[in-house]
Amino acid sequence: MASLVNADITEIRQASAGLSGAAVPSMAGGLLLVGLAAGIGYATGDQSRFWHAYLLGVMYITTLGVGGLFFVIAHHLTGGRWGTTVRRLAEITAGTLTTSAVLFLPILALNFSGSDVLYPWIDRPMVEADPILASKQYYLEPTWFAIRTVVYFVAWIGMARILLSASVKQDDREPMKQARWMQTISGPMMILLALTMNFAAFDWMMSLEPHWFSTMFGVYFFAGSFLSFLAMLILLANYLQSKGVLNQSITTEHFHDLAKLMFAFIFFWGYIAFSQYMLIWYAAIPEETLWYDVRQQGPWIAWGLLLVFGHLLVPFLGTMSRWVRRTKPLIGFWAAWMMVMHWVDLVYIIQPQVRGASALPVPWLEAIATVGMLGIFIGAWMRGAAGKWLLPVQDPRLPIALSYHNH
Amino acid sequence: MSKTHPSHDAPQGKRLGLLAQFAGPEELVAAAEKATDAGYQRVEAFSPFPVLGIDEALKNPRTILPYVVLMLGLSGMCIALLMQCYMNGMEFPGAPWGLSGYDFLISGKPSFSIPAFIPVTFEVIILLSAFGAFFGMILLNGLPKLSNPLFRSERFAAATDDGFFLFVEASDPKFAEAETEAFLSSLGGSGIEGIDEPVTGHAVPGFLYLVGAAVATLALLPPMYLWATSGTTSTVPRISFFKDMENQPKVKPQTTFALFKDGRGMRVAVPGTVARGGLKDDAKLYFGYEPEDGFVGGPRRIEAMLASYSVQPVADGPDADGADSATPPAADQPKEENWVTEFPVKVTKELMERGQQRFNIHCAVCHGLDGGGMGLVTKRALELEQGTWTQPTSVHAESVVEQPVGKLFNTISNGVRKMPGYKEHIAVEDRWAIVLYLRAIQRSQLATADDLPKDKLIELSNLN
Repeated sequence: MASLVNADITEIRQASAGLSGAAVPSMAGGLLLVGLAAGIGYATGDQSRFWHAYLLGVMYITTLGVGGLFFVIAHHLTGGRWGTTVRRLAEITAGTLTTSAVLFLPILALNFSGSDVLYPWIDRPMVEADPILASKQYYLEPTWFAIRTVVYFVAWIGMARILLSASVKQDDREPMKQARWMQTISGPMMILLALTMNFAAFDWMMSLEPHWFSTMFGVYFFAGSFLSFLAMLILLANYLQSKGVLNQSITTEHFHDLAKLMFAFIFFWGYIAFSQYMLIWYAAIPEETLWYDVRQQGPWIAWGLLLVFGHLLVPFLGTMSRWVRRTKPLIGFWAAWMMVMHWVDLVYIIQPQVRGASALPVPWLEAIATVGMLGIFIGAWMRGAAGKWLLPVQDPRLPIALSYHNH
Repeated sequence: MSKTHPSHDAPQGKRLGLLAQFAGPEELVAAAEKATDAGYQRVEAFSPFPVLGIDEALKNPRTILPYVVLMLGLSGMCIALLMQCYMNGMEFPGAPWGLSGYDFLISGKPSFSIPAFIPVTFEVIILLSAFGAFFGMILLNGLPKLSNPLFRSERFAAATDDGFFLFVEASDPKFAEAETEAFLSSLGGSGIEGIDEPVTGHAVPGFLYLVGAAVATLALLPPMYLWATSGTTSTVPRISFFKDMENQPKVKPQTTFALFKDGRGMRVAVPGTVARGGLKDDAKLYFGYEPEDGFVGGPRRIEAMLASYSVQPVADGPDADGADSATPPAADQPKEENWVTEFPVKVTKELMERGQQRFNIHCAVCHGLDGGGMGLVTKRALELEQGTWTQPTSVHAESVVEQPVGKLFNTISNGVRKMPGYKEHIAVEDRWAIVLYLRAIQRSQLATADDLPKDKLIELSNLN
């Protein structure tokens, strides 16, 4: 396919400015659901479970945003071509990190209020009395935790804004100069992103069990994060095309490529998750095994097996075929599957740490909180997209991307 | 093979097909498209570089290579899992040729444990998949192929430079020499030429293959014979490749050597020599008992030792090589009253703690942390019903409690019944530390109310 000339373009390429207003119901509905979850949590006296569910929801949308940021930076860094057609969608997704940061504020407030329903290390006397925690007491400390959280979000939001604004500027003028600028800054940005993601995973999720540590946890977080973003991007592209948006620009070839990346990251996630498990299982050191020990009690066993099969083996085989990857409804199905499985993964990481919960109840509270967060996320995405081109229309690599073919 | 290089004019074999040259990649794709549209099925394209769209234009069926790779990957998974199940998870005692398997407990993991098997399984899947992809690609491409009839066309050499060719095979059902030639030229093909099967010379006589196979098989016999003899018993010396490595001119332990007068390869220490750390002058400390004549083993032991040598030593000397080398013979067991009853080392809290630590390291695996005799090894042995296992005597048994410290020290040093001696593993001070700790745990089990401090006693009586 040769690149399109203007007369051939029948697709919608620009989001209407009115999208901003349309975002309000989605955001309001999302907030309402999160509020409902909070109400139920506090009414039933199960604050610990609500706050874990809240963290779960924030993590779910944050991983989408960070995954998007990684996609954009990696695309610039590698001089990628095929991805140019979906780059703006990823840039807008990375822009939602601002919303994630705002949604994280209640957790910081909870820490400062001295309540240890979420992070056990808030309980200082307990930390000082415990020899393992005593050595971590200066790291796991509310103020320092808050400072780090702010650093992570400032870094991410900053990178997302810089890249998005350069990309939007490119739509009007100096496309070559902007393209070079984005490529130049993507190297340092990648280093910054890798470091911040790693420590963010340690702080936000690993420290839920402060005794436990896994140096692989940051990579685990990254694998799940980029995988869920790819799944979201496939679903988003499918949805937009059903509305007549970008259905000429995003071709079967791009779906095929996104699906290939998703396939690779399904396996990468499994590789990392298993590596983390096997090293701990083999060494059998009590302070390392306790994390998995909790997850091998009662229904969590089944939940773990759900991950092994649902997050790794079944989708791995399911997305193996080229035909599946090039058939939009099928790859859309697997993308939706992976988004659910990413949630299952986060539940597995976060919910067993709820204090006083010996068995996994039906995770409806968690589901309400996450759906609410997704509503807010969609609203934030629409606000971010409003009035923008959904394609970097002047990018010098766009013609190559449009005529791209898989072999 | 014929001696002369075949030329176009040479007598030709069967017609294989028609070759046509095209101006460039676009023309090649267009021509291929038209040819396959016209119903030709066996069309091949040749170009100096991969041409985009040529696969679609030739309407080639998609390669089966992915399925080959998938199948080999799955086989790799099965092979690796079965191999590890058999080697790690099962044992058939007495199976011949080392095929018994080895069901061995590693790090307390089950002998059949999937997580431990996954890394190997993963690697074998990768290996076989890579083999499948690499060799499958080569085989499916019809390689290795030493020659192609097309190479006989001089024009065809341009296919590695700037030539774009289409070849219609004669085996195509639609192939007809004249029509196909006209069709190709209508597509814009130039220099259309027929390619014929090369006229081959004399074939290799069939019996040569047989001879080759026989020679190859016979060549295997000598190495197989060497391999077989190296592992079997025989009345003749085995064949050896590296004689000077296997028989080196040096004196080995426990052998004779003619150069010395007594004929022994190993030399006796010069009388009066004391090995490093071998001067065990404090018998109480080193052996745990007070010998009657001043040093351990007594002169009788030295006499017995010397008598066993074929040659009398030059002079009698004191026990010079250190009495560390042998357990005192049963006849030499000291009398009960000779055992040390007081610690020959300074009893301190540090020594007690050291003793506890050493006990937990060296003793507790069999004796149990409380000395009761149910350590992990004992438990496991009882679980496996090992008939050869002797359960350690409880250190709280009356017969042990009554023993003087020197005797306990001797038991640790030299062992008793199934228990091996530990003097090579544990330093003298540490052995005494263990004895001290033993005394403590004995007391912990046999304590009376009088052993308790007053306030604790009052506390306890208040509980009742």
